[in-house]
Amino acid sequence: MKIKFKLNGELKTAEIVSYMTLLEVLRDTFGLTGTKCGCGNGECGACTVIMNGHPVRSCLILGVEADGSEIFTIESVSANGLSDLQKAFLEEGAVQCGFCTPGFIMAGEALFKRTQNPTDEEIKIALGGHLCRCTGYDAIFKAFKKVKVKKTL
Amino acid sequence: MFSRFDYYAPQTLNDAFAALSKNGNARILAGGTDLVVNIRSGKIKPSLIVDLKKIKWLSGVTKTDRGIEIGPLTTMNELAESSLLKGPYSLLSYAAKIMGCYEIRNRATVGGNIINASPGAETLTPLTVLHASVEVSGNNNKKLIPLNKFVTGPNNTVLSGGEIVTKIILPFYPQLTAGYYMRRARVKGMDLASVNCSVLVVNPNNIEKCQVRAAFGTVMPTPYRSQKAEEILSGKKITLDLIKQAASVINSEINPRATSLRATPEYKRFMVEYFLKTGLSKILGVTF
Ligand SMILES: Cc1cc2nc3c(=O)[nH]c(=O)nc-3n(C[C@H](O)[C@H](O)[C@H](O)COP(=O)(O)OP(=O)(O)OC[C@H]3O[C@@H](n4cnc5c(N)ncnc54)[C@H](O)[C@@H]3O)c2cc1C
Ligand code: FES
Ligand code: FES
Repeated sequence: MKIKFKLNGELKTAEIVSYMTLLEVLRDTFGLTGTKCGCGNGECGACTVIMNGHPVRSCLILGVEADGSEIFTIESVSANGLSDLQKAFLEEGAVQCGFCTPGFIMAGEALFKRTQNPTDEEIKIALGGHLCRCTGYDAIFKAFKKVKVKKTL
Repeated sequence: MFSRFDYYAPQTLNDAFAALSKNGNARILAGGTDLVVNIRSGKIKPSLIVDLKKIKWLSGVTKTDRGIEIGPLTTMNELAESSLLKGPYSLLSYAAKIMGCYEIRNRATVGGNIINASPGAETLTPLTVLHASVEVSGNNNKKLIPLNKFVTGPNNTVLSGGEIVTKIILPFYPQLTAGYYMRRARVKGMDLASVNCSVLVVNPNNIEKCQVRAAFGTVMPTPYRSQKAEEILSGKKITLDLIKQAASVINSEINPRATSLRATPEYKRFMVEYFLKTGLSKILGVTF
């Protein structure tokens, strides 16, 4: 099937089979391997992308559902240098193996777009479904608290 | 990755019915948070996926002369933010707000939740105490089914292959009617509820007319309400003694299965009185 959608700000078309996930389309068809597959079942958050303004899990979405939509992946975030949140991750040591990081960053970029000054509770809600096996979350939480004003995606 | 299937996103309900009637092995797609998981695990092997998301009127919350009408494709985050789901209905938006996680709530729909009908499904007990009815549309007929008749067992409803849920309708309630939703899970983070409960008090300000409803999830195959227990609590000043009586009636009627992965029958039985006590004290503003 043919899909036509906006990917990281550019109009793209692709011919894909209907039984691929959006995650597979992003990684395999478009070569955007920043988005990770941690579980493939919606449980871990590593595959989070922003679709029509909302963070979603690309492993639970069919590639064909992207037709007509607008999608941002982790690759868009550092297109013009690191974002404030990415810098805060480095400063706080919130990255160890890094596998979960793209998912946390995308959830964060979407959060800071909803509200520039989130409460602790709002940060916890935004990150509640993201798993990290390395950092123990504390450094990630601190990095989020450091970012007050988000640069536009 | 998956078994093979075709995909079709109709613009109208009639196109959806036409596709469903042509293909006996078609499955409807809403948010996909149950369906895609089930396809991946091989539990279901559809040959056609019919995505309803292009039919815009199937989503959103509106107020009509029938009551509060919720489109089945309304997402959990949309329910959580709806200005119409306040007061008597706030327990539903609260349940929507705490299910899954933020990204899941951007996709998961209320229709998918009641049709998947897991015993602890987040919206089932709130919709049960609110006396929701489900509008089921077929190729050329439409019927309204009370939710407690719609869900027939774990992952089971009366829905047949060619039918589509087109509305979930909540009746109007007297102004001060209030409810409370409670869940317990194994972890603080994302997990399905081990046991959950919704309590609704209609007319809490008028002792004679006050009506208490309580629905429990995961203690039976479908959300469980005890007529006898609700009679004990309705139409009188509620005391701890009445709550204990009601809880013991419920415990004599339910039969939580021993094979649940998430909680033992003993735990679920213990939670009955706790949920009743907590729900009623939150709603009535008294401590028992
Ligand atoms: C990580 C994760 C966490 C989760 N956490 C929770 C939780 O905490 N609480 C909870 O209750 N659930 C949870 N779920 C389960 C799931 O998200 C919900 O049940 C959700 O509401 C399903 O809605 P959906 O739109 O994604 O349904 P889909 O997967 O699209 O559909 C579910 C079923 O309903 C059918 N269907 C959908 N819409 C219609 C319609 N209008 N007419 C006829 N048939 C229809 C589909 O064919 C399918 O059989 C979780 C799932 C995941 C992956
Ligand atoms: S890979 Fe999608 S949530 Fe884990
Ligand atoms: S840094 Fe390794 S999983 Fe989070």
